[in-house]
Amino acid sequence: MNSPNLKRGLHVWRRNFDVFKSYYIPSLTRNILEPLILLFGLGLGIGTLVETVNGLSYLEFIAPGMLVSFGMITATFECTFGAYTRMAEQKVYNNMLATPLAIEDIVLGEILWGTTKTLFSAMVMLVILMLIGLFKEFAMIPLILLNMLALGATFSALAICVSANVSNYESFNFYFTIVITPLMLFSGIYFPADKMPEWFENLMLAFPTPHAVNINHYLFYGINSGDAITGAIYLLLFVPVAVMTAGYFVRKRLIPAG
Amino acid sequence: MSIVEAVRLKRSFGDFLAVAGIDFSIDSGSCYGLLGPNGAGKTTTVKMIQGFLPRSSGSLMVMGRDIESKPAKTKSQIGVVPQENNLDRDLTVLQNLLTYARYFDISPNEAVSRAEELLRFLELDGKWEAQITALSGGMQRRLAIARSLINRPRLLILDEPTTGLDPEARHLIWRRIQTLKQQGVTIILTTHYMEEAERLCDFVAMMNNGTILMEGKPADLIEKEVGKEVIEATISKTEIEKFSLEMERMNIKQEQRGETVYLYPNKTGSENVLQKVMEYRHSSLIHRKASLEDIFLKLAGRKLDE
Ligand SMILES: Nc1ncnc2c1ncn2[C@@H]1O[C@H](COP(=O)(O)OP(=O)(O)O)[C@@H](O)[C@H]1O
Ligand SMILES: [Mg+2]
Repeated sequence: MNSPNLKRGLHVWRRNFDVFKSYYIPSLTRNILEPLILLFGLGLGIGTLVETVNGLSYLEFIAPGMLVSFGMITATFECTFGAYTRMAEQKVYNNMLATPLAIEDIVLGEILWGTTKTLFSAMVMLVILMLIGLFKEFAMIPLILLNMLALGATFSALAICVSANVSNYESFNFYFTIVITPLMLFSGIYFPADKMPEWFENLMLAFPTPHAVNINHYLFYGINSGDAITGAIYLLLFVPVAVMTAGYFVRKRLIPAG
Repeated sequence: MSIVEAVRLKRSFGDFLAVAGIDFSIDSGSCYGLLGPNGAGKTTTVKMIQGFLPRSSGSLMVMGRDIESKPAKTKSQIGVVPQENNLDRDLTVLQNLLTYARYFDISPNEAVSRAEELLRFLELDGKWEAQITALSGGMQRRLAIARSLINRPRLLILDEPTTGLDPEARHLIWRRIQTLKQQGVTIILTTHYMEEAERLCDFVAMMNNGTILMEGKPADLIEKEVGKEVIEATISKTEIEKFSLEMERMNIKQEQRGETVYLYPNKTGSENVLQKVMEYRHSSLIHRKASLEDIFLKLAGRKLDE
């Protein structure tokens, strides 16, 4: 296993960015409209049923977690459907491999790209939250983005692991249903994690999402539900392992065994 | 000086031996043809040379270096036109070249000037902004060739560059390959068109079942394996056996495929053979120069006999 080269990884990032430039309008539209619709819907719907959660209005409570939820989905979409199309359908990785790029460079570039889109979605959402007055801790923006960066890298890498192991688009349903949907529901985004049985809450801590949610809650409101520091350490360790695992699976997929 | 040197080069896929321990050496500046039927192991061989597939055993030196050490450095001097079309369909024609140039760390200005030059060279001038899916098969292949030249490679690998193209497209590609040869680029060409190999290659290796059956200059191989001339005769069904026996008595090498008998007379024999054919009922008779195709058919015939 080679270690990736950042400059070559950025060439792959740049390729994806150039393609993105030709369809940024639908992409940006989704980034802006989806959080608005969700905030509006949940705020009007559930928000009227719920007085306060841990002393916060319902919209205040879900705002930090929604950043995580959207970031996770964005990276996951980009590195499942997007990366799979490039790897398996269009053979883009094969054309890259005839140049000085190595598999690790390509995987690094894809993860950087998935992470970029996560950061982008987080920034759009932060602007929306600021405009409607749900986010005021401007000094925390760099740390929030750092948290989203780790989250984006994690879910980009996980999605690439999945992409390297499926043979059609339908198979992504397993990953979405078994992994992503439960992570959205049970990570303390829409209701506090301590409402679940304790064993289940602990089980969820094996996954990155609840940690990212806890960190965001801390950065937004100074509430240390769960342990933000443990979460940060967890994410810092998770990212390199996920990136290396992704490299391993893509190599296994593209280079036939001898 | 040799630019590629393989010794007992082997590659297996599971239990299956796709390249069964081959030796070859490719001279710098030459055009080397890997010929053979589908499944012979041509693509597997070139994918090892381009550093895509690791070998199972043996040694493979490319430009004086083991291909598996410092692959990025070696790959920066290789151009590849793969058998499968893997142009980047998310990008336009020009973007395909510029993006590819970036993978080689070529500066943007330099990339633009090389791309313009290559699009002219491959007669794609008017297509800069075109989408890949709007190009014909021949244009896509030409673009793949342009792309492979963006890094000004010392070694160019063309894996079946004209398969599936119409004659006009094929001839354009042949002319361009000739030009590249004159510029001193070393070329490895795989093909199952023998005419293509005969026109372009200085040296050819005939592959089958992962081995190199024979190797040499096309003219030498033809002379050695089939002689100078070939007579193709289609003899009536009722007489073909008798005719074949008569040829055997005359010591004329022959191959029979369907109703056509291919005869390989030596220098003095062709007049006699032609006369003999005239004595039989035949529906066609062709007397022509021998070609690589005859070797190929001979080998294919042998394979069928097995
Ligand atoms: N990834 C692979 N897995 C298993 N077998 C393969 C693979 N690639 C090629 N082969 C087999 O190796 C043999 C040689 O293939 P290839 O090198 O593509 O031949 P050619 O290019 O001469 O048509 C074929 O029998 C093919 O089926
Ligand atoms: Mg092939």
